[in-house]
Amino acid sequence: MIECDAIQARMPDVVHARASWTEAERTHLVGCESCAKEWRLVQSAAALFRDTVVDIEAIARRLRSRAAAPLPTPSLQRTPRRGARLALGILAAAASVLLLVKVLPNGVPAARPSTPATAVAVLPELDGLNETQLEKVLSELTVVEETVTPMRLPRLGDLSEAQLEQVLRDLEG
Amino acid sequence: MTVVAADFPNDPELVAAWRSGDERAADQLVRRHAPALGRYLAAAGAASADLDDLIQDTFFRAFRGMEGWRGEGSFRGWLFRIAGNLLKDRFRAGKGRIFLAIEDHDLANHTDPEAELVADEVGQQLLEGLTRLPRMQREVFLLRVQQGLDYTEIAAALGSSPGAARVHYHHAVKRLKEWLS
Repeated sequence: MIECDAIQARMPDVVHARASWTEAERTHLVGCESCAKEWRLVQSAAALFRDTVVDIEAIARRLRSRAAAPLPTPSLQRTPRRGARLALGILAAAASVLLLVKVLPNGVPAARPSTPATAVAVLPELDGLNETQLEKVLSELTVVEETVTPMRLPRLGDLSEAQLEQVLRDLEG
Repeated sequence: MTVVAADFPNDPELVAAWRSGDERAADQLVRRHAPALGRYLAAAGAASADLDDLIQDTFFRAFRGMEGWRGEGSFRGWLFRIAGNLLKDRFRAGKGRIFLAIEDHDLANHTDPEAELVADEVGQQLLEGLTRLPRMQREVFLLRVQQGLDYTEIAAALGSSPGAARVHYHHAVKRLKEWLS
């Protein structure tokens, strides 16, 4: 069947009696399978649920009572905005990642001197070192630790108005 | 100054009257638009048991947010938009299923028994076809054919453009014709 759009644009208007077919259109409709099919479709769709019954009086009555009911009183305690909480979480996560990158520039795991047992468990290659070698590794790690300036976690209060707005826009779309 | 609705006021006049405190104007708006909303929601997949609640919620939201309607599109189109959003929320709550409660009286009503039989059969298939359409195509098709809105009104109702509405309509018709083949 070849698709035909000769009269399809007028079908909704005709079915709603805002227009009527011309003689030429009527003739076309009889001879065109595509348009005849679409016309049946449009007629059926226009008639869908024509007899749907709604209880208008009940709806109007319930609406009046709902409108008369007082609105729920908002809580006096402010609830933090979901977006702000999300922003705080994301900022904290980003800061943690930055801190790790700063402490471990080459991605080498660092053993803290205060927890040698953990270091041994995590780095089994240290098992083969004698005491002097272990002392040397430890001193180097201490130097690394002392050269790193601890990074303060940024807070929402550190952001300017514009930056906060930007964060919220990014989060809430 | 209190605005009093005229004997046969149009929608903007009724809305103005309601805003100035005339409750009868709200009743008139409900009487005028509730049946069309019911048909639209039913064809869009609302369960018949939910219709009154959905219509009530639609008007409640409309009246509560009346300031949001500035008369650019038709008031009925605005109601369709709210109703469509409410129905979408219900579908989401029901995990996206569309509930079509199809009964004999829901379909075409003709005086010719043979034509009625054919129309009912097409109507039944059509309802099934509608459930398979993407939401925008289904809504545009129903607003255009069942409700008789033009593309400008449809665009205002669905927050789209007339051109996009025309494309959605074209796709919907094509798919439904294929479905009915």
